Amino acid sequence: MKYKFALFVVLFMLASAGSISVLAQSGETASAAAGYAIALEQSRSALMAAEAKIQVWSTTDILLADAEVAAEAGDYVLATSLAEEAGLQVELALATAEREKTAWRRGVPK
Amino acid sequence: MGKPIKIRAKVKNGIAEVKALMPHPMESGIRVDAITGEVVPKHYIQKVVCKLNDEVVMTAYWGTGVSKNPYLSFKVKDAKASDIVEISWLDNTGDTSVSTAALK
Amino acid sequence: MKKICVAFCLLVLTASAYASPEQDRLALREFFAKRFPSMDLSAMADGLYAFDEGAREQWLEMEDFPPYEIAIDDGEVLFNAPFENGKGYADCFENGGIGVRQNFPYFDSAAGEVITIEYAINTCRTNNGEQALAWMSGELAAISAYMAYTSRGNKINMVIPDDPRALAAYESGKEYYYTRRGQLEFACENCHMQSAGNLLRADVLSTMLGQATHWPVYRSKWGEIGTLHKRFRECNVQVRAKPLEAQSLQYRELEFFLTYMSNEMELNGPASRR
Repeated sequence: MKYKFALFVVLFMLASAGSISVLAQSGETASAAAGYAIALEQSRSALMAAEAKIQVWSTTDILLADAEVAAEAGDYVLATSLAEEAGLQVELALATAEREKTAWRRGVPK
Repeated sequence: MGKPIKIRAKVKNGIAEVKALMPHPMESGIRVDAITGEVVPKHYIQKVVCKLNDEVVMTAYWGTGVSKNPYLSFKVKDAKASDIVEISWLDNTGDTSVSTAALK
Repeated sequence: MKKICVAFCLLVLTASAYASPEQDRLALREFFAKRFPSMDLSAMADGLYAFDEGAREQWLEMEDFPPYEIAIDDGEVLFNAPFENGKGYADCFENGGIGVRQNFPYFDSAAGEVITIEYAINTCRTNNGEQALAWMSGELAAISAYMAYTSRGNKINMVIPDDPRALAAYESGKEYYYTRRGQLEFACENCHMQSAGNLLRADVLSTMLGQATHWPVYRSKWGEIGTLHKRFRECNVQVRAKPLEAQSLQYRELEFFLTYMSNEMELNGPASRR
């Protein structure tokens, strides 16, 4: 009787552990996808601002395109990191734009 | 008939310097069209014959390593002004072009 | 007395506002005259060949039978071919389009924008029911090459009208030229003014002065004739900046500024380059 009960407890724990990890995985995927969506949106809107200032690196568009490909394949970790890197590039480009707004005149011969 | 060959030919001290520019696509057959994704077929000059007053002075056998619109320059001895230089080419499609010029 | 003071102050203030295009042009000439005191400024129209002796020798030999000759011949045929409606390019340009390259680019007061020669060629086509040609190479570049060839030796004759929009276009081109951009954060001026005459890898950098005189160009690297905006795009990519579309407004304004800086220099296009 004790063995049956012990066996039942062990099996129950294994089953719940298994289902918890499955649940955890689909939860992970959902939050990873959400994380990617946020990173993508942020990078895209910042990129629009950079385009308006004609300060965009030649490598940024490719990163975003690759991020979309990774996301479609379900690799949200890669997709997010690519989208974030694109966002970093745009940030740097916007910093250049801000500085150059006034600094550009330094090169003009007087 | 292929596009005419442009020839400039000068003679000095009995030596003629002939320069020729041959409009030709010179496709190696390796290049892939960026838009269609298809290989661009071979289309290149295989043989060039140069004559001075109807006498063959130089024959060239070209391959796919020669690039587009080839420029050819050579010197010929025992030449004098108003001698006629004739250059002709034959390509892998069977197309030909012949042009002449008088030595100046 | 106070009125005179105020008037005088206003005059001084407006005069010390940003330099006029002509002042810019003269300041630039002085910059290069100081930088290269032994060089004739007109030699700068030959780009890197003004500096690199070995390359110059090879280039002069090529000039005997230049690779752009085929483009000129093709361009002439294309230029003279009538449109479907019977009209031709000659109907769109002054003097039938012959010997007019020195007047481009110009500010079109009616349209309110800068018109470059390539832009004018395609406008001519679309106004006459023809399809526009691709901007950077091929037929359009050949027609531009022919028109440049008929204008060889003419002095660039840009006139910026006394129109605030024209001056704004000039300023826009000027700002673009001097602004650092791209991952490498280079401005056009860093290479073509600060480092002109220096080596960049295996190439000598040409001076900004004289850059607008010789387009379109047969670049050995391209294996064909190409337009100035094709080179703008290449330069952008070389500093890892996203290039703009050929003949976009910003590039036209850049060409406007760049050409004015070489105003009064002789046209020597089309040219061959590495």
